[in-house]
Amino acid sequence: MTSYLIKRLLQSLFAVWGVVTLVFLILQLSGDPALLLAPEGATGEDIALIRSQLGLDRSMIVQYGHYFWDLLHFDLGRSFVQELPVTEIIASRIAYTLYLALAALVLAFCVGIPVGIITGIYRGKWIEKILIPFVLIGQSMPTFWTGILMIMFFAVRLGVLPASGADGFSSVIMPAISLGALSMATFARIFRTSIIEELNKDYVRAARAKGLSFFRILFLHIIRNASIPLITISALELAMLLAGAVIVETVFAWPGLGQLTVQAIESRDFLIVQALVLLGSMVYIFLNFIADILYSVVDPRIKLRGAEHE
Amino acid sequence: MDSASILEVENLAIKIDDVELISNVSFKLESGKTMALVGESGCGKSITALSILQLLPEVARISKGSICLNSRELSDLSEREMRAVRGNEISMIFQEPASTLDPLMTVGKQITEAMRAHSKVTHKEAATAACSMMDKVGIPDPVTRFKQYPFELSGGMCQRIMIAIALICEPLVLIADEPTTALDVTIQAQTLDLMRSLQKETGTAILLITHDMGVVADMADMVMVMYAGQVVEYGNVFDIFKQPRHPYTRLLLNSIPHIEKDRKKKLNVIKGIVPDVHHWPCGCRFNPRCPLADKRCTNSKPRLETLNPSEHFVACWNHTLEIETSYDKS
Amino acid sequence: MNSESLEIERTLTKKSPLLSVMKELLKIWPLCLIFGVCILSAILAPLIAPMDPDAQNLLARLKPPGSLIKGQVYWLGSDQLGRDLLSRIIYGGRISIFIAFLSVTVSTSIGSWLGLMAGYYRGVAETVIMRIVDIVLSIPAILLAIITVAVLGPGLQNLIIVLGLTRWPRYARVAYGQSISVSKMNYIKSARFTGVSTSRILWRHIFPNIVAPLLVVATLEFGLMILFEAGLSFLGLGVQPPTASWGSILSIGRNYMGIAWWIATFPGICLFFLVLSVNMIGDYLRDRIDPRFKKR
Repeated sequence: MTSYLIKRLLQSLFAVWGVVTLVFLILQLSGDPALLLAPEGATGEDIALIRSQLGLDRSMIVQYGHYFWDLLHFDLGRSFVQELPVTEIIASRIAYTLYLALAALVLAFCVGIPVGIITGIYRGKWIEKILIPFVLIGQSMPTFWTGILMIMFFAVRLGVLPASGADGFSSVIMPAISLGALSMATFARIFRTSIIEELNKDYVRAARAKGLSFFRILFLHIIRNASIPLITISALELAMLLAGAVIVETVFAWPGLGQLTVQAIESRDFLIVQALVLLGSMVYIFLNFIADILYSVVDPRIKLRGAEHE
Repeated sequence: MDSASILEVENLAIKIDDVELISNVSFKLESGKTMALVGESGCGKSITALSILQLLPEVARISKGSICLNSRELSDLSEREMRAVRGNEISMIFQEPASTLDPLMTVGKQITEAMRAHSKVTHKEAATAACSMMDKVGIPDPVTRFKQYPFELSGGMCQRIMIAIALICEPLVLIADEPTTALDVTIQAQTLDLMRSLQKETGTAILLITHDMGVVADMADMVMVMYAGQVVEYGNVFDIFKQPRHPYTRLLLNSIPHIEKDRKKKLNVIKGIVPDVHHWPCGCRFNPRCPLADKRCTNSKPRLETLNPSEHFVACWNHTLEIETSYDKS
Repeated sequence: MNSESLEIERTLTKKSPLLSVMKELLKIWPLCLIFGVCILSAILAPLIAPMDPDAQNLLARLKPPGSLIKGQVYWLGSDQLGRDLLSRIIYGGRISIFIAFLSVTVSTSIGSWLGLMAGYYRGVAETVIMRIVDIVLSIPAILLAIITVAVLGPGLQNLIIVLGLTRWPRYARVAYGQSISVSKMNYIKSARFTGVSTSRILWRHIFPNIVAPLLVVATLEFGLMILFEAGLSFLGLGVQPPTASWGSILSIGRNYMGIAWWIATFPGICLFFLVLSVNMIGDYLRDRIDPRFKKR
């Protein structure tokens, strides 16, 4: 088990290095990074000042070294726009985004998985025919539109839920639903496919021949086997949630990192954009690694063989 | 009902929609004896076996006939009652041992699961029983193996686990659907030996499904030959091998390659292929491929008839005729 | 039955992968119809839009659907500058579809080619290409798009570049995986041994066999690109005003949710139906022609 996980850890570290370097290169490729980093209305003098302050006049290698060094110390720079250290700005908002993402994920699991199970085992029956369209709709609804529609209906027309902001439990309901809707649909579909595949397998028939009850077979055998693909998908879904958060937080004026991203671009606060991209990637790489750990825990074949299961 | 018969199947017919998969299938299983069910792929052997345990796929149904276990009609039982029968009074083992075990559960647990489904035993009691069963089926070091996963065991071992699972509740009948086809020859022999010795010990009746006449010769007491969903010949193993009467049986036996024979000779094959279920031939279903077929064969289906005082049945109009010498008779 | 020989049979007897795709598409004609209508209206926009999408009419601001102003019917209502919503939606659809189409083409070409090379040649090419793929795929898509937009600046052209350049790894992964499994097949090995030129092997033998899953990915990506563009435009990072795109109209609509519900509703409906039909077509194709998912 350890050799497999070590290999994956190295891969993750490589990805981290790669992303860090890629972001650096993107910044460099823009021509004059100082222009990019300087806030609006900066004079030529200001830009020159920024350039020397940030060491942007030195060679690329030196810059890269400094950049890397700073990152290792979690120094993400100081925002020119907000006049605060980037780390501080991010820290003040991260809790909101986590809260929202968690709520969305929980929702996606609690709805998506049962729907996936039901539509998987009751293929062709009426309940599947009712649920499948919902799943399809959930997958095709643009996140921001779901949000807007919900606001128009629940907030504007009915007035039962707040249209924006983040105070109290009721304000997280609509954002969580619009954020989680796509993931709900994805989980339902993946799980359904998994279950259908498992149902066709030989060991299910053999288990029935043993005289086991259907529910026992379902819960102890089928679901465990079917969950395996879901684990890797969950990591990917979290990335989708990150993407969705940017949009949902904008629609609902939720004071999290997503809203920060858009504000940062609008105010040309590139250091924050850079920091968020790095943060987002680190989280994603980390989640993928966690998924691999979970994978090896659930599937003993991986643990003992270190086999690649795609 | 015969006092020694434990399972009696009479006039069984299975359909999917309007298509008849098998019809007029009747046979008896006796305790301590092995009945081989022989035929090519697609002749209905597996479906027959699955129907005994009411494990047919949803689209299929038993349209006619009865299946009696110790005078109890199985097709009348509810799903719950049937579950009590499966794994307990009638067990089944399948062809691919590795894929018939749950890859995510230890083999020991899969054995105890079968046991605990039918009797109230504690985990510990079940584990002990499982280990002794594993020992009985010839698995070395059962205590270690108990905690292992199917992928850690070889094919032969997995099949032994399957046998352990099947026999742990001491069933009256064991249905074995091509149990050795996926194993190599030496393991095959070992597995059959194991089944035979266990049968001697427990008196379980075995329904052995196979397409390998060698396995039949090795294990069977009675033989039932099926073709295109129907029984074409039925009798004890000596009669079938010494005096096969149905042309299909004769051709099957002829197609066994012999080591001693001239290696340069072409292998005997039965011309043609098994007909599609949607297009059963008229009359006797074997007639398109039969060297003895005549007009009567196309017009009407032959019934199973007794040949002599011993139980040897044949369904053929021309079973008394000789087959042309272009087929080598051994 | 040897599944490999089945695969060989299938590929040898296939007339052309394109033909079988066409045949499959015919069976789900209602979906293709919806899709076709969208594409057609995108192409024929100048002919079917009742008004100039950018024409402002301050006397006709925020009018509900069906309003009649000075002899013109605003079928879907008007926005805050008096522009006809229906026309803006038609032209917006044109932009959105155009962007999605172009970016899918760019990323498919780059990605398939790189993945094919990596899978066929292995060795250094494989390591370099697939490592880069890993790195790019480690950045969540929207963040990558955002940082690239931040550097390049917003706008139509840059949007296509952004979408094209950030999505190619997905195709590369698929092409890579498929080209590896196809390269392993015996008929490829024998082609190599008999001295068939590499480019011929790649084009005549390997590529046709990886087209199917790539097509499936491209279809699903098309839907995704529509959503992406809409999302980025919604955030103000994509198509810039006054150009209409479904996303930018929706972002305006958000500001007028209480008083002009139509602005926020209709573009969304169009987005929904287009993406729905594309997703369903993609799923259908995947079940039928993707060898990794074909139902047994």
